[in-house]
Amino acid sequence: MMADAYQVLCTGAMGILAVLMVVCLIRCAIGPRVSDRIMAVNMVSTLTIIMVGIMTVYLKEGYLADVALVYAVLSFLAVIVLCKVYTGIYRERRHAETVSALKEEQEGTACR
Amino acid sequence: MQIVRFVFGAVFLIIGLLSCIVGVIGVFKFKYAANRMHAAAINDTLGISLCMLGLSVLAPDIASALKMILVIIFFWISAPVASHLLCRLEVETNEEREQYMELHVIEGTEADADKNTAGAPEMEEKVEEAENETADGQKMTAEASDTQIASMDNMVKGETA
Repeated sequence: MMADAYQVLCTGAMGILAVLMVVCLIRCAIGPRVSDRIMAVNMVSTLTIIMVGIMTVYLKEGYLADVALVYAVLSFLAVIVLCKVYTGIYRERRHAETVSALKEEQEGTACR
Repeated sequence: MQIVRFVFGAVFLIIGLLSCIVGVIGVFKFKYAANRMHAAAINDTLGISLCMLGLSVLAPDIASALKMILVIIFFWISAPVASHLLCRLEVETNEEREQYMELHVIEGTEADADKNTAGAPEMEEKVEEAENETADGQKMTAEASDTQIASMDNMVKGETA
């Protein structure tokens, strides 16, 4: 009887989490800005951690809690690396634009 | 006893799942990326904390329960850092940010330096040159004053001799 209750709770929670993850993926696909996409990735990894925790209870395997802990560290690292990479890309692009604009200006003054 | 434990854990888990649902709905409700980040933070803090608390009550052994508590503590530390970096990315890369928010640039920060030099490398070089010049000028004056002092010393010595 208890086993049935555990199974119903875990399966229901897993179903809800799966639906929420699909919705987060939709946000990731339509997100107009890069930060929306990174935020959606962060949310998906958060829901994955909860899923791994539910698997720990459902399968009664203690080592899956370690997996959840490592996944938390990895998702944090992924968000930080993506933020740094996109900030760097934006800065490089802006730098290249200003350099090309200045070169055009200089050529214009040389022609005069 | 078993039933009490199950009910406790299930209640926490269901409240956590409800706050996750609220966060995901909020991500679709708001219009601007920084506001959506606020809704996503519910998921990162309240949702995962309550779910992990419930799951640690339901956990098969004490070690995995403590590991789940450790996940909560790690998220308390990491989620604010992640959302801070994400918000900085949003503020820095959005060209039309003045439409959505008021920016107050604090003097002496990185943003202040960006604003002053406007990202132009020529300007930066000029600023560096100017700094070099001033440094050279200061050196010059310092050397001059040294030589002056030396000459004055010599003069004084000459007078005494």
